[in-house]
Amino acid sequence: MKKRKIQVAVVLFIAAVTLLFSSFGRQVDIEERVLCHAMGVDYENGEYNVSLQVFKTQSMGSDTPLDVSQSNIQTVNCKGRSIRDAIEGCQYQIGREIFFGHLQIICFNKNTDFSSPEELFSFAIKDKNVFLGVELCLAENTAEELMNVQLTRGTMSSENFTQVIKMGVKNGVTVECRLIDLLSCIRSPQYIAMPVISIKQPLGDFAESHEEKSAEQQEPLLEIKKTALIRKGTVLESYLSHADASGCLWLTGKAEQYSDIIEYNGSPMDVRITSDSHSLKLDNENGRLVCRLKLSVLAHTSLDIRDEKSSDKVAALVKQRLEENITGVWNKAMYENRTDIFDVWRLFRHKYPQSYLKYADRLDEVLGSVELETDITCRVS
Amino acid sequence: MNTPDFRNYKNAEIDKTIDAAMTSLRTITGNSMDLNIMNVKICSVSCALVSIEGMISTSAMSELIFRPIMELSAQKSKGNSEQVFDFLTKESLLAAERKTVFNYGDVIQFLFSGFAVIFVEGLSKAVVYGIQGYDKRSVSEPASEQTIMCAQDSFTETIRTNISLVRRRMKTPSLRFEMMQIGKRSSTDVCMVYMSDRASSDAVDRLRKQLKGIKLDTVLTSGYIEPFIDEGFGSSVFSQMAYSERPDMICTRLNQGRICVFVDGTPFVLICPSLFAENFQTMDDFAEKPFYVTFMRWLKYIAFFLAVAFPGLYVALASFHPEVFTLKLLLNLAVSEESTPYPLTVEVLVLMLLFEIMKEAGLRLPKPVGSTVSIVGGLIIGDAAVKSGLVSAPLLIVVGITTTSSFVIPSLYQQTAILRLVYILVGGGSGLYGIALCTVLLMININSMDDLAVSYTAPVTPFFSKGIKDVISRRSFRSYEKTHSTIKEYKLDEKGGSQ
Amino acid sequence: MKKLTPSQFFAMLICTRAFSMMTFLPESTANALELMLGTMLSTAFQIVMICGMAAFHKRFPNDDPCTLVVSRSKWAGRGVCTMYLAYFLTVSFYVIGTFTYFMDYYFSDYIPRLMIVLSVAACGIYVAMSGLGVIGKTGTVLFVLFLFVTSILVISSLEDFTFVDFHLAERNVGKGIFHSAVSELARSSYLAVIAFLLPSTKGNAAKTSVYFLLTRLALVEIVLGFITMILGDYTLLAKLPFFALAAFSRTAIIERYDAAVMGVWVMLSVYKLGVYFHCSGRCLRYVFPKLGSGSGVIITAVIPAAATLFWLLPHKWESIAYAGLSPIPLIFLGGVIPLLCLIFVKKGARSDEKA
Repeated sequence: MKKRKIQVAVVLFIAAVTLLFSSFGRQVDIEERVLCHAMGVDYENGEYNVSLQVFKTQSMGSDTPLDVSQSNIQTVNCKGRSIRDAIEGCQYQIGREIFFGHLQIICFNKNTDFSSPEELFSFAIKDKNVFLGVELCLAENTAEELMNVQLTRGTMSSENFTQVIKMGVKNGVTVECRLIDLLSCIRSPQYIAMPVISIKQPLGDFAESHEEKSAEQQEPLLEIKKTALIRKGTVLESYLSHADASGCLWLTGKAEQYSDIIEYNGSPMDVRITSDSHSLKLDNENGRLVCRLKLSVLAHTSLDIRDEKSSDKVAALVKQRLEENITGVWNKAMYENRTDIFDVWRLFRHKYPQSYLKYADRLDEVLGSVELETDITCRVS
Repeated sequence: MNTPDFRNYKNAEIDKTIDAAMTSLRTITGNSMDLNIMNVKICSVSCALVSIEGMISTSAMSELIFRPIMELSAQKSKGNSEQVFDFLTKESLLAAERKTVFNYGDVIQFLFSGFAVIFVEGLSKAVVYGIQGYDKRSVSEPASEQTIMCAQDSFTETIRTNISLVRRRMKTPSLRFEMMQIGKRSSTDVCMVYMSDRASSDAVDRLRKQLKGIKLDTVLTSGYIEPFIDEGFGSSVFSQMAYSERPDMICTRLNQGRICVFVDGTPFVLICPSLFAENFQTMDDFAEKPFYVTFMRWLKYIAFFLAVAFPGLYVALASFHPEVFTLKLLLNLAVSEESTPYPLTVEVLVLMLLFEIMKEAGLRLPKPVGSTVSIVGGLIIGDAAVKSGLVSAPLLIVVGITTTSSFVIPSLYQQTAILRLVYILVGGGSGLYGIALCTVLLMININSMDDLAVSYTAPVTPFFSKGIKDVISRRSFRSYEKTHSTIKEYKLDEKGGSQ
Repeated sequence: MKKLTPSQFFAMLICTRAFSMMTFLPESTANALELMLGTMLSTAFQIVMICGMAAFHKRFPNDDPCTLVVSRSKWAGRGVCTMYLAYFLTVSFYVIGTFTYFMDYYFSDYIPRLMIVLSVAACGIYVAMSGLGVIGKTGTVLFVLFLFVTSILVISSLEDFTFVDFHLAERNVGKGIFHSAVSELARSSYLAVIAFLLPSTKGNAAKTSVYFLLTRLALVEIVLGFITMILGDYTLLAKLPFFALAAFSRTAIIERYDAAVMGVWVMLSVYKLGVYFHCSGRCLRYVFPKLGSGSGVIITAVIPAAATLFWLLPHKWESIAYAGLSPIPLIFLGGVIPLLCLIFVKKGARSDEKA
């Protein structure tokens, strides 16, 4: 019994010593890290220029809360032959370990090559801290320009980027692209739609007309005017407009709502369209692939529609608008640019695996021949 | 015959002559100043009335003993020793408690328990009368187990008072009190209480044997006895013996088949065996509605978790896994930690140790000075330390929540205080990895406890469906009406599986 | 010796399997649907093996293969015990090594590999020395914890899943499914534990084992399914897909779940080690009867822990991690030996029976 107690005591002692001293002197306390929220990557002439927006509070004290009226960021730039190389350069500049656990957005410039996501995002794949749901976007000019924008709306500047994208997706003006979306088809054809963020400077005469210029009024705004198409790693010249993006969202079932203006009795009328039900199927009709979309929506009009006849008319107009948007984006993406951003290839692989294998090297051809049939039902609320 | 002294008096027979008996008593007690001897003749027979100063009730002695004896002497002028002894033992009711003793061991035991002893010339025996009148604390509110809607009386230091508090609540003949004296020098009255139709007879026998096997010199509190009856005392973090100073709680546990041990001189009664889940139960649970009881029960579980693991988790997550925090929380933490000079682990440890010091000081300080502790603690350490940048404000919140939570379950305070420090050290040393390992070791330690063949973690594991309702909430009284569960249901069989 | 209740036995087996599930390493060419179908095939085969063990247990209710053969023949018994011992040591070796490898992968900057091996082995020894009854009770709690964490993981990922990532676009589907079934069988080291611990369980242990197999099948399919539906091809890229899924899960209170999952994973690893150390300690005592129970456990823990250092310290563990175990020893220990005992050992007087 005594021998057993000694054995247990020794074992517990070893466990205690190893647990207490295992990372002695190695752990990095919270104040020794630099928190990075947004990253910009510009690829030019074989080099990556990485710009990081890191957290830097304007006020500091053990009893002082975060001052949300400030932008609370600092931008750090460095170049390197790979993104990981450039990040390490940034770390040397700051003199602290950069923590990517709360990275919210990665912006790229249009020259970036997305054909090999495993290599491009190796810094994220290897680092367990990087969140897989990080937003990806393109910059209208350069990612560095975007990262240098200091915004005081929100807790820190980078929140504005993600909020703009999320609001855009919610209102159906752009398509969301996250890191996981890219990595989940890493061994498959790369067809991506990515929002393009641009900076909108405040109107000069508006600012000058006031005697006191507030910081908020001087701050630039962010906007998403278009959505880029990326085919096999290359950003195409063709872009999706707001209407195209909404069509893409309706087609893939990711649309929440969309606002548009229809001509009703010769006058423009605001309509807010929300999703009710959605189904997308791929069928083989005598060797012809047909993609069938069945969509049910609710239309909320700005005017009161009381009678059934008017309601049917509005419903027909909304349905027509949706069909235009959906067909328009289908033609642009599938036929004109051979970019399957609707994941039809996944449906094809899921439903016809052997055919998928057979035509794996000619997938563009097959997808380019898929026809679309829509069955849209609209109810006016 | 040699006069017995304090070393060899226990089995020494009482001397026949009064003089010899008194000499022996004086020798045994070392001529102690509190030994009162009154020589008196009853029916012309020499007798001696012996008592201890301050232990007997003088009014009871004069009314119950002196008066009847004097009346007898007045009625009967002459008699012999046997007649006098018969009167004292059989023909009169001089006190509620009366015994005949034959050796000095029993005489001393009864004398020091507040009995009066009458010796009769020519007889090698004496009679003892229970007329205790020593000063004792009256029944008052419980100091540690406060309730809102339940009885407000609690046990005192007098074992007989405590026994009566239980007896008047449980008016059943199956309630058994087994008194024994433990402690070679203190001969402390220890009473084992159980319900004969509810408690396991094996457990009763085992406990009795363990109690009788205690060879300590003195037994002054229940804590002296605990190591001898709790098998895992030295190796387990938790204890399978619980304490209570509430008579209603003791009665509840007795009815559940537990065995309670009363110790004279302390109001805290040992309950064995007890279960881990019972630390979260109070008597108020039986006075409140089930939905509220459920809410409070789960609040206590959360409080226990916070009291033990919150600071350790905070240190582990902030140092090793900051990605777990939401962004805004992390930014605020980073801002506040930026200016503090010491690592987070050191800060937390220092604050927790300071808190323990203040708590101990508040406990030991005289009441008039007690408020100083709260001023020092709150203003100087709390406010000034934050303003001067020595510790961060979020850390004070963590410590505040932790310490408040630890007071929700006072019966587990010892364990939470130590485990908390362990978790802080381990969390600061190796993050969530260390905390996970520590938790497994703790679980193994808790699950190893099965005193008196009852697993400490019952009814959770081994799982008992009937008992689990009392862990989640409180069984309804209608359910209690149908079946009343006892601890015997949780008894492990010979091979350790549940029955 | 304390016996396990059916629920404790069930929970113990699930916990040991849960560790393997959380440490699942997909091959780069694996297909999720093939893995799921292969798991089903493997489960069917394992149920057949359980039937053989059930027949053995029915005939010899108080013996496992080791104690039975030891009671009939000292040297044959030692041979059988050594085989079981070798397998349990091998599994312990894999568990310690795999655990340390991934802990180092995730926390390489903080905790050296040697410290991880020492700490996890020491804790495993403590678990093993506490006895089977305590192991069973702890398993119940860990099982609930594991279910809780997995449920939160699944619920917080619900909005992101899509069925279209399930496909059978592979050249040789049958071969893929068969290969998956074999790999799954090789990972099912609990079969040897079941054969070894059947007499230490109350009630119908074989029935409990079948329930366990079916529950395990459901759990594995659900987890694999969710990982595939949410992560798609990334499942094959991530070192630990289960953790990748946890890192992707988000709620309003906790930003990421991978730390919580890691905590549960650590607990399960220590628990599994404790179970295997306990089993191997018992085997060692059958071979060397004079050895104390504590000493037996310590020796059977030190051997695999020390062995792993030869691969871990020079960073060569990856070659072993992806090689995996062969199912043949398992079929032998869980199927062939009980079958041989049934055929050749007669129910009757034991050579070591005491009056």
